[in-house]
Amino acid sequence: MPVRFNITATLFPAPGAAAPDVAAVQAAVEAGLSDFWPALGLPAKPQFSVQLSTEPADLFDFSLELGGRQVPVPVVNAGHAPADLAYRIAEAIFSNRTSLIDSEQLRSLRAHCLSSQRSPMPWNTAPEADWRTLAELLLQNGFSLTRLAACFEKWTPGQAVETAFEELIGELEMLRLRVIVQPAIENLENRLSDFYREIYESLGVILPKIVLETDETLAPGHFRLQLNDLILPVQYDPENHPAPAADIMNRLDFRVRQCAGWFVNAGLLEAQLDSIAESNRALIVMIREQWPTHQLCAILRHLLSERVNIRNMTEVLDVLLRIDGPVAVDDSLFLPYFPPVSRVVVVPPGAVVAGPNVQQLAGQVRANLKYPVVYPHLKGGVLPCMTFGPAVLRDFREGFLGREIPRPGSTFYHLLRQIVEQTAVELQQPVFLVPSGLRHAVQAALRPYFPSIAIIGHEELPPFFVPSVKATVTLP
Amino acid sequence: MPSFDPIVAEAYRRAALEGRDMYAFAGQMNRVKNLLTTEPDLYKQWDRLDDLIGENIQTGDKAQELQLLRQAFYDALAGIFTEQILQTGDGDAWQRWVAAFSEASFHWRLQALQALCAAPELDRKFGKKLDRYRQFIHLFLDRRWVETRPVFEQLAADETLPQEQRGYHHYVCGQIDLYFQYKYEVAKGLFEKAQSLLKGKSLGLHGLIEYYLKGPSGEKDADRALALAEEALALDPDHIASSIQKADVLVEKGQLAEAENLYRMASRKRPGYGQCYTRLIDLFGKEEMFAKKENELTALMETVELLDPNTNFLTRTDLGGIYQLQGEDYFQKAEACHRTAMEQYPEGIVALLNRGYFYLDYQKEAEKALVDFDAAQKKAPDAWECSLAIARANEALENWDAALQAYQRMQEIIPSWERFTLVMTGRCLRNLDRPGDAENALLQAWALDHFDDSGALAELYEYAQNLYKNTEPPQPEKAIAVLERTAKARKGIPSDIAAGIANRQGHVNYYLEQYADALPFYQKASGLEPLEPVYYTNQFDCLEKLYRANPEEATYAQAIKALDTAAGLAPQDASIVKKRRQLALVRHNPHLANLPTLYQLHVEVGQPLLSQITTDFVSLQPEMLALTDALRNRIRERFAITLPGVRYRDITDGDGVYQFRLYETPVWLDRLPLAENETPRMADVLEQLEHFVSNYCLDLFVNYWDVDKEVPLLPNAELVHFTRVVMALLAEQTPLPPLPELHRQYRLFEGVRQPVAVAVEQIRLWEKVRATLPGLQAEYRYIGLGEREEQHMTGFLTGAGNARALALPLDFVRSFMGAIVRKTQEHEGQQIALVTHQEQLRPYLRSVLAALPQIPVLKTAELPAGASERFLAPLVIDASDDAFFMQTYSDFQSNISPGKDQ
Repeated sequence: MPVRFNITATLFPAPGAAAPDVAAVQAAVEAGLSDFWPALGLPAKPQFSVQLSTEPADLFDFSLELGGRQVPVPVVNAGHAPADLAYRIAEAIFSNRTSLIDSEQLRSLRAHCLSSQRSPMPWNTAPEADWRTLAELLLQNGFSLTRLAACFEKWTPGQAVETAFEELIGELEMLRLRVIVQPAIENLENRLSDFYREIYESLGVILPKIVLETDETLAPGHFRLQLNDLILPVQYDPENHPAPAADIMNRLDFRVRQCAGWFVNAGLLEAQLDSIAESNRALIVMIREQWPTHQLCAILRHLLSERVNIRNMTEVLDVLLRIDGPVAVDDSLFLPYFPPVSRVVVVPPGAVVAGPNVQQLAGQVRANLKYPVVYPHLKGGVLPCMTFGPAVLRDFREGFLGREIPRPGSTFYHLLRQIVEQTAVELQQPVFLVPSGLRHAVQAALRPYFPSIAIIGHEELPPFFVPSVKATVTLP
Repeated sequence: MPSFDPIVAEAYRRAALEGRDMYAFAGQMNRVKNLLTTEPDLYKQWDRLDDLIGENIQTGDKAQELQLLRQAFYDALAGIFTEQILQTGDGDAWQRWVAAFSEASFHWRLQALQALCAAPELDRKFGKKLDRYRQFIHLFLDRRWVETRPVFEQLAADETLPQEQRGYHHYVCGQIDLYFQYKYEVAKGLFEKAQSLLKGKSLGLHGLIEYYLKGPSGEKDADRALALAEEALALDPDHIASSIQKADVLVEKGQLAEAENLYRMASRKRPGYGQCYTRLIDLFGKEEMFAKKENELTALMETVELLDPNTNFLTRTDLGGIYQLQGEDYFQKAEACHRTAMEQYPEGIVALLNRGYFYLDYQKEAEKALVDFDAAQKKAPDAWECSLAIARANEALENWDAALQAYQRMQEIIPSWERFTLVMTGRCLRNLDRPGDAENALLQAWALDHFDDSGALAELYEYAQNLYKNTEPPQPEKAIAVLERTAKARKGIPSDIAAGIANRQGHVNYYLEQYADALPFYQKASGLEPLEPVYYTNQFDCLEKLYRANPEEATYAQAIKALDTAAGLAPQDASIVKKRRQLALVRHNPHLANLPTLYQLHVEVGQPLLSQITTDFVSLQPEMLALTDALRNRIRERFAITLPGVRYRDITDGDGVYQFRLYETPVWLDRLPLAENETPRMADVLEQLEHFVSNYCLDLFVNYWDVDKEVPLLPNAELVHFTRVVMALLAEQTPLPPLPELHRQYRLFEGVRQPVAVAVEQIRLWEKVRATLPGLQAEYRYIGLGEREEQHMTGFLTGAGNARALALPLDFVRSFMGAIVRKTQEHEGQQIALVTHQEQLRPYLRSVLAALPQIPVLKTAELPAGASERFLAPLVIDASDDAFFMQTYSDFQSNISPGKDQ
């Protein structure tokens, strides 16, 4: 009998509005789960339940527990009509999919892998941490956990699991994009050429060929999106979208941009490096000498996850080639002028200078690319943005914010409220300007609650771009 | 055996006349006499005498006494031979002369040959009979070996001569056929005959050794040659010519160090054997050894001169050939060698022709070469070497008629070169626009080319290639037909060549993008030569193109199969992996070809500027092109870099009058400051662009590829390092000299071994750069960094090398910037530069002031003369600077809002 994995959503009724229809939400979420859950490759079956809270909605109109642990969900803003609640719950489950991997699931996955091997493999003795890292890597990048065994076959003890993962997904055939629609949908194929071009122009990603399939069993207005191995939750709203082809393309566009990093692998990267080498041989020779492909892929994915256009790949690679030495760790207001010559970091007394992890390396690339990072946020030639007060920055720097789920009355909850209030007009994409050394920490803490928030580091501003600070978020 | 006494006596007389120390001379002569008299014959005595001279040279002595004796010996040769031939014994005197000539030739003693032809009594006795042999000596000195062959052949055939000598002369005839007539089969036969005549002797194997080294490509076998050389040495370990030959084999095998050892060992065994030294000269002239051994060449040449006073001019001109190979820096030496050789033997043509070839091939001065070649032909009108040289020079001058005539003349002189001369005449005829005749000549040559060494096939390929590449309209069918005729012109051509021809037929269609038609030819090639990977990769290339046009899985599978086969045959070939990836990419995204190109720099313009350009970059109005070119020229002259092509676009629908885009990202949006009723001009926009590029992104317009083009062939690490130095200099708007010049300076102080920052600081001090550093101009005033501030900042430097950093506490940074802002306000309207005494601090100060590119940062050593009078009060941080900075920043923020401020 399959193990059950408990998923519980608690709904907070909006003040003055009718209470949500619990049964309807339950049914809709279960339907969504039945679409995307099997592709995740988890051994457990989902056990979804919904309960109605007596507390009214405030920052959140629902909370979510996965396997008994509460996970972050996006803030809801009363000023904007939110998407369908069931869809948002399904989406929150999908977004937190790495939280679905508990030790019990990993044990079960391991048992399955061990039973399928013909002869004892070196990975038999792999520790839980390696299983978890690999499992998270697979899910994070759109691959099913059914690939775990194949992934471990490429792994040897002592080797970084990231390398085995990259090796597994290294062939271009591993990257897939499938759209399943009703047979009645027309003219979708004609839109694809422009779509490929637009995605390439704005993100620099060469998408895989989109496979269009039809399924007569799909309900009117319904469709499925498969990116790599995973089926993504989709919001169906045929009544408000009378042009289904356009609607599908919009959703596809949204998802592809959101998951652009999924479409980077070693095969694609190497092919691109080959092309660049034809005009810039030395750069590619040096890059291949200094940067393992798996690390390059990880950096590119990270950049894409932050919507950074990597189309100017030559410049991205050149920046990587220049990176050495310590990186900034705190709130410098000043810009390194030209890293090969001199680097200025501002280190508070006693602070430990961090080593370059993927986030920091991606941060360095962002800081050097400057224009493509900041440009999307410009308005009228200036950068309207907000900042945080020194106490907030200090809390972020020292790890006092963002580690726990915000509960009413907590400082973090209060901070989120402040952000909602300050950004009420522009909740769709608020921009915060923060010290470069804190950019990643702030983003990691806030993005689960504000998925479209943009956190810009001071270093990322070109010298001639003028930030216009509209407000500073502080704590009482 | 003649007595050596009269020769020694003559040497005494000459020494006395020259006023030498007769006591020492007598001691030397007694020793020599005792040594020589123990030798069994004249030639052994001669060898011994040469060895004594060689020994002396090796110990640093010029052996003048011995040379004097040897000259007396040379002078006595005529007498010795005359006596030997005319006054001893009965029988046929002519036969004795021939025997003496054969023996002299066997020992390769030019002076003996000369003495036999020049002795007055022999001349009287034999008269015109000697003319042939006198001519032989001229030919010998001119290395006109083909023409010397009849004499060697006669000596080889004369059964009255000793078998050893006949065997040797068979060997010499074989050498001539091998090296100068390319009659490989004949040569091999002669070498085998020599082997049988010299049975049991090392020399008997020499011919075959050379055959396996220099024979037709199918027969070349260096290992077999080495085995034979070792066999020769086993027969006689002291046979010096065999040692040298073994070393020659090692050279061919690329074992240069071992070869050098053998040559040197030979020179120790036979210090007077000139070939040991000439071979070392040849060896040291090789690319791999020249740099290390160049210094030894002069001493070796001197040794050859002392050992061989008569023919060392040949070695001298060969040395010239070695020098000319080493590039322009050695041209003067090369020319001097050829000139000296010409002066040593003015009657000869070898050095004259060599100098002509030096002018032709290295100095690319065909006219000058032709003068030498014509002069050589006047000296030796019948020498095919001169005709060939004249033809070559005329080819270079594109005097195709004259070249054709010269090749035809050459054909008359040396018919054995028919296949070569046909190729060359074919080439001339092609250039004379006589394609039919050219094709016939080339096919005729190819039909004769059983050893595939005439270059006929290469010429036919080029001829066919011209038909579809350079002929208007292209004639692909004719090209394929020519190749088909080539395939059929010779019966039984080897499969590799047949495959090569099919491959070329494939190329014709491939070039014309008829990939489906090219494929069968490549398949035919791989069928003929299944182990040649390139025929499979060519098939892949066709299939890849076909797949791009029509992405069918069957084509993809076929392409992958071809590539798999190629990869199996050439697993190390990185290009196969790349091809696989490129095809995978095509399959990955079928719209790959339509993805937009990323351009570096765009200028977008709205109305009313639009009327001044067209939207089509290619057809930009001439004045716009001129403006753009002028901008690029200015940037190039000032900063030594090439601004990328500027692309123009219409943004009538958007905001602003103009906008710049870097890599598609808009980076600068502005409105031109215009008076009322003034029409905006594109010239003003480009002025803004120049300002923008010069101040903010110069370093973006130089990358490794650009530098690679300007300073080619740098090792990767140096290329990257030097490029970063250039980028760093440009990031500070430093005007630069041309990059090759900058790189020379960088090399002078071993820039690549320095951290980038250090290299930059050194280059800034180079006068050519220093003179134009921003901040040195007369209008600048200087603010020195306060002593305490400098000490503080130096203390904040951490790390080493390229990882060095300036780790500043935040409060210090704020105060410092506050002080800078305060100073700029105090000296408003004044151009100021910040100056530090600490060289290591300067680049980091530049970083701190990144947002203020208008404030140059200098170190004391860079300041101009009289700078002390231009100093203002130093920059000293005071307690209020922190707050002052925060206030300034806050004021600045409150003054900007989106949509209003730029």
